[in-house]
Amino acid sequence: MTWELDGNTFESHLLLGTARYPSLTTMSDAITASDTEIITVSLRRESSNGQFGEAFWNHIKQHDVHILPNTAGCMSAKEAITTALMAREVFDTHWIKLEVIGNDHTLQPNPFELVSAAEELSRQGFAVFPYTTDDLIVCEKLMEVGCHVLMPWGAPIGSGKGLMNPYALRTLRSHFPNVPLIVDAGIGAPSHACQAMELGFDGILLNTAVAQANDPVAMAAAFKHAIEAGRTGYQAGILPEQDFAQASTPELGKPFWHE
Amino acid sequence: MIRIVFNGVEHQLSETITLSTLTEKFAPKEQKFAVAVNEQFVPKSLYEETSVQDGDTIELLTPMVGG
Repeated sequence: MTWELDGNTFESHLLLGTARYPSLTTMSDAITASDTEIITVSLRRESSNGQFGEAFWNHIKQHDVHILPNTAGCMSAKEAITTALMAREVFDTHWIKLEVIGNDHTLQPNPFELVSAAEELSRQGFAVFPYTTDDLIVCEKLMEVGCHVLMPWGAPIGSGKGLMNPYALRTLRSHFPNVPLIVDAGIGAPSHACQAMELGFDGILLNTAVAQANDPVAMAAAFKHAIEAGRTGYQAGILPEQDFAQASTPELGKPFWHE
Repeated sequence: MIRIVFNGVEHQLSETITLSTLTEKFAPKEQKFAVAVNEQFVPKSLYEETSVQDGDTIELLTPMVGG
């Protein structure tokens, strides 16, 4: 059940965001309940609302997890590259969740700026985790410029719509059989995560569905189990769909049978 | 007198100072942070030799929750 990312072996297939929890304590408890080994964080100006800086970092330090900083909010390759360089110094990691947003309404990635930033950051030694649409050509370009993992969206960030285009995700799985694929964004219910894992995806990155649940800690556990179920189902071999009924109980020896 | 914009707020400095001095003044204590000047990242190793110029826009960022 283990998998690899950038030379590291992981057991959990759940990557968890740290934003929008009702409190830092709840966030910390949800991280524990999820059994995640990778959490996402960001960089922002210092503020005084308690979600920033030292208080946040003190909670994170209690967990034995890999840190995946993001470039959330960046609208150009230049902004994203500068943010990534700052994140590398602050968090002492060459991992970067590369987000370059192209539309304020949908928070859809700008594929042109994304590929440009991915190329430069890969050249500078980053392991780039690109938040992308499910467009096959964009994903091919990201691989060409040095990415070794792809993170297509399931749906717009925070929408909770689940997998809008399972066909496209299945196509990516088929096209990149050996590339770690992570659905990033749009997951609302544990069943959505399970569905993505049943398609053969390697991981799920989510945040809002856990953080905004009535009980974020319980929901973190629910996603953990759903992701494990989907992964196990995929590996076990899921029954192909067919258009006709097929009785499961043997015909042989059927009572009240007349020729 | 020089004027800078630090984390979105305009400040006036009586004299030119280094980035090292500026971060000692403005950075939160015992906190991780990184700095960009005019949208260019400046590594800590260059703080001593980097002077803050009139009109500079400086961002000092710290860890925060993120998705």
